[in-house]
Amino acid sequence: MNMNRLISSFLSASFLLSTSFAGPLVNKLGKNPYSAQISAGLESVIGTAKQPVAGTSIAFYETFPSSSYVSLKDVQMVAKSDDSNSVVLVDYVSVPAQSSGAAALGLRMALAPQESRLEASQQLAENGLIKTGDILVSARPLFANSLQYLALQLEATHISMAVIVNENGRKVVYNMDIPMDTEMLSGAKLGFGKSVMDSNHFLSDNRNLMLHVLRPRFESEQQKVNMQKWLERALARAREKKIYPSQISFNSDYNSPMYREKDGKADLSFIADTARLMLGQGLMANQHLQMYCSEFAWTLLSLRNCDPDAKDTVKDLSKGKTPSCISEFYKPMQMFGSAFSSGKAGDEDLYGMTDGIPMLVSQIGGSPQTAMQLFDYALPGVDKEAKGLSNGHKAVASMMAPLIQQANGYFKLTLTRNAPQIDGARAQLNPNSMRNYSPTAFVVHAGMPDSVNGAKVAQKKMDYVVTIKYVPKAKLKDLQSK
Amino acid sequence: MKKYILMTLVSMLTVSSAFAERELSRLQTVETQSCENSELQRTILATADLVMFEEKNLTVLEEGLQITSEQKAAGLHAEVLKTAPRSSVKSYSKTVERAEADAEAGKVGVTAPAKFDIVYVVKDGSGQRKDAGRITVDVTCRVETRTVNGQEKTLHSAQLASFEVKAKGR
Repeated sequence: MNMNRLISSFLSASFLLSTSFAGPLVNKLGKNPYSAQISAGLESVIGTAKQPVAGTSIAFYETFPSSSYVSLKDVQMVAKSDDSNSVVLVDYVSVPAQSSGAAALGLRMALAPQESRLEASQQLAENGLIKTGDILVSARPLFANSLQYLALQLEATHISMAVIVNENGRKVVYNMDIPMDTEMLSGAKLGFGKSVMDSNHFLSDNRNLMLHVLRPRFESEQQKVNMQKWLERALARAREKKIYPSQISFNSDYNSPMYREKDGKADLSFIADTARLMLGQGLMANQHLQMYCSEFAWTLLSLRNCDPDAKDTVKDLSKGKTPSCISEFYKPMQMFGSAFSSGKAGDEDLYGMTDGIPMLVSQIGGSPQTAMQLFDYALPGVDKEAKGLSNGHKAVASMMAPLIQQANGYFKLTLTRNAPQIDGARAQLNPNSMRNYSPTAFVVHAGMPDSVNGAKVAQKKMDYVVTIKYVPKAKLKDLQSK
Repeated sequence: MKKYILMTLVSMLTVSSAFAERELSRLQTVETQSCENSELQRTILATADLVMFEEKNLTVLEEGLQITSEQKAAGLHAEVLKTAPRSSVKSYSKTVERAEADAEAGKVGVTAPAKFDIVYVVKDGSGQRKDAGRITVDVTCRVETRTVNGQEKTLHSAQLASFEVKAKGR
C-alpha cells in the first residue's frame, strides 16, 4: 500500500468514525406491547382532560390528522438501543377515526433526553428526521383546556426554523429565529448562534413546551439547496450580531405584517431587503425591517427559488430590484376559508388561519353531534386557570370570553353546510383583517387534508413530521432498551 | 350581530399578538399619535412601564438589576424618573418622512431605531435611594394604513427593538 492510499484509507476510517457516532433513533411507532404505558407516560408529561369521543386524552386541537404525517421511509431507525442518549419515536392517538377511511387525530412523538440536547440534535440531523427548512413550532400543552383563545391558536406560540449544519464531521440541528437575540439563539451548550434547541426560550419552561416539526413541501432539490444556503447565511449574520436589531428587529404586533397588497398586487420588496441583509448588502426598499417569528420563516421560504450565489440574483438585489425568483411560499391567509361552504380543492383560500378547530374535526369522519361536542370542548364558553400565564394575559382572556362564544357559533354554522349563509358570513368577516402568516397559519397548513373529494388541495404547503418532547433520561430508559 | 362578529375576529387577531408577546414580554408596542421625537419621548415612559411588565413577581428591570424576589418582598424596588434622547435621535428624525411616505404608498413604513435613556433609581422599603442608573432603549416608529370600521386610517406605533439595563452602582 503506497502512502497516498494509506492516507486515503485513514481519512475514510476517520470519516466513518465521525459520522457513525450519532446515536440511533429508536422506533416504537405503531401498536406494540408498550402502547398503553407509552400513552400513559405521554399524558403524564403533556397533560390531559376528559374529551368527548376519546375520553381522557391530550386535547385534540394540539394534534394532527394521521393522514397528514409525512413518510419516514428515508429516516434511519433501530428497534432498540442501550444508548441512554437515544431519541424514541412513539405514536399517540387523541381522537380515534370515527368512520372507515377517516383520520385519527394524534401526535407522532420524538421523546428526547432533556439532559442531552446536543446529542439529540445530532441524532435528529444525522438520521434525517429533521431537515433544513423545517419549521419548529413551540406549543404549550399545559395550557390546553384553560384559556379558549389558546385553543383557537392550536396552542402555537412561536416558530423557529431548523438548519442542518456539518460541523467537525457531524451534522447538527440549529434553530434560527427572530428575534436574533440571546433568548432565542444563545445555546446553553455551544454558545450564541449555536442553539440546539437549548437557548433560554426552549429551556426555561420545558415542562410546558413541545415542538411540532413541520416540513415545507419543496418542489425541487434546487429549492432545498437554496434554502440551505439562505439559512446558513442567516446563521452567519446572526452570529456576527451586526444586523439585529439595528437593521431588522422583532415586530411584537402579529396583526401587522410587512406583507401588504395594493390593487391586488403584493409588495414583496421586504423579502428582497431580507435577502440583501443575508448577503451582507444594505437595505434598499425599506429603512428598517420588523418581523415576527413566523413572518421571518415565511420570508426566508419565499426565497426558495433564489440561489444566493447566482450572479443575476445578486446583481438585481444590488441594483434595488426585487428578483423575479422571489415568490410567496404560500398566499398569506385570511381568517376563514371556503372549505366548509363553496370551496374547491384548487382554492388558494380553502382554509383560513382560524379554521384549525373545524378543520381537524372534519377529518375524523364523525357525526355533526360529535363535531359540536368537540367544538364545545375546545370553546366551552368559560376560561379556566392557566397556571404560569401572566396576569395581563389572563385579563385579556377574561375579556375575550363572550367573544369566543361567537367563534363557537360560527364553527357550528359550518356544520350546516348552508353554503350561501357561510359564504355570506365570510364575505363580511375576511376583508376586515389583513392576510397573515401567523404561527397558527403554519400549523393549519400542516393539518390540512391532502385532498378533497379526490382532488389535491392546492393550498397545502406543509406536512407534519413529528413532535419533540424533551423528558428526563430516567423516563426513557425502558422505552429505549426494550 | 355582524358588527359583533367583526369585533370578535379583530380582537382574536389582537389576542394572538398578545399571547405571542408572552414569549418575549420585553418587546412591546405602544400606539402613538405620530413619529415626532417629542411624541416618542412621551410614550417612552409608558413603554418603560411595559418593559417592567409583571412577570414572576419581578419586573424585567428588576431582574436586569439582579434584584431578588426576597429583596422585592422586603421593599426594594426600581422607579423610573425620566427619559432622555441620545444623539442618534437626530439621524432617526431624518427617516420619519420616508416612513410616512411608505405608508401612504401602501407599504409598512418603519423608521431607523432611535436611542433613548430611561433614568431610574432603586429604593428600599423606606424610600431610601440605594442605586441608580439607566436603561438604554432602541425604539422604532412604525407607520401603516389600516381599515378601521370601514375607514382607512394612518396608524403610528413605537416598538421597542432592544434594551439594556446599566446599573450605576455595579
